Amino acid sequence: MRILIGLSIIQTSLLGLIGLRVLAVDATVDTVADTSLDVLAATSRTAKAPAAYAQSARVGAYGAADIDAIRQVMREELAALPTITHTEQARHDNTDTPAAPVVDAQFTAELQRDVERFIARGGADDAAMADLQIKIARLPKEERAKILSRLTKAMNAGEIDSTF
Amino acid sequence: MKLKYVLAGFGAALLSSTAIAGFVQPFPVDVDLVNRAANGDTVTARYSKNKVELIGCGIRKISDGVGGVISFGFCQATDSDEEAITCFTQDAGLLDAISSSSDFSFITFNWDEADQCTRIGFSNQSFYLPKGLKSNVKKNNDNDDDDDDDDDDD
Repeated sequence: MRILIGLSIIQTSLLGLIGLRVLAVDATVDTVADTSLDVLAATSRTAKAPAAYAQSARVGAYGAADIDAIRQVMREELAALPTITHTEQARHDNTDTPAAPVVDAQFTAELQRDVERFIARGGADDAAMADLQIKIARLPKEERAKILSRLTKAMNAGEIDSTF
Repeated sequence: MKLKYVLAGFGAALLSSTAIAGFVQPFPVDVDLVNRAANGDTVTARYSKNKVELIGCGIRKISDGVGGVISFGFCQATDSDEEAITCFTQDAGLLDAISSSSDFSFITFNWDEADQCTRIGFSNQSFYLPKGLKSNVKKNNDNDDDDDDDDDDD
């Protein structure tokens, strides 16, 4: 009988501990949720979201009104996406236009001299060739084509014993 | 008499091997510098008797230093007469073509006066495959899944 009572006390104590732990975890979740909502509210303000959401985000009790507000913000964010994608695409497209990687004539001349040095040496090791390619990549597309053409022609003429 | 059986055995083995070999069409590398054309298949080039023949294409992707990545591709070939060519390309379509190549291809390409590739083609056909690949033909014509021992290594 004593053993059973002892076990019962231990069991009750453990259940109490578990209960306390659950409360602690619950409090942590609430804190995290509040923080996230604050961030979301700040974002929504930046995106000119409805002020109703910014207020409801701090409330803590998430009713149907809050969910509607979140949906509204998501709709607005999603509606803004095509504009962002378009901007990103434009930036990407510019990579190969003369305007994007602006390189001065001095840099182009330096790469031409690199090629001439390769020719003078009769070749280039892999590291030197890779280094030159990295520099060539910074040129606008048209300039890149000119240097690649010069390099390829020298390789084909046997003036540079190397490969891409 | 024994010699006859041995010879017959060799003959049968040879015929058997030939029968399942399939059509082969080795295409040695040819570089035509006048017409600016090169072609050949990679397996024939790789196992040619000379030490110069080669053909292939590749792509380099390099950061442009301002958040983008540029790509250029190249094809190169050297034939047994040691005529050699390398062409390069920045054309998106030709880069796609190079990306779609596979092992053991027949490759054909052309270039312009600036040594820019103007045409790149690949052909993946059974007759360009190298010897030594495991066959999926079963010797006993059965359909069980245990085919490890049935593969022909010709």
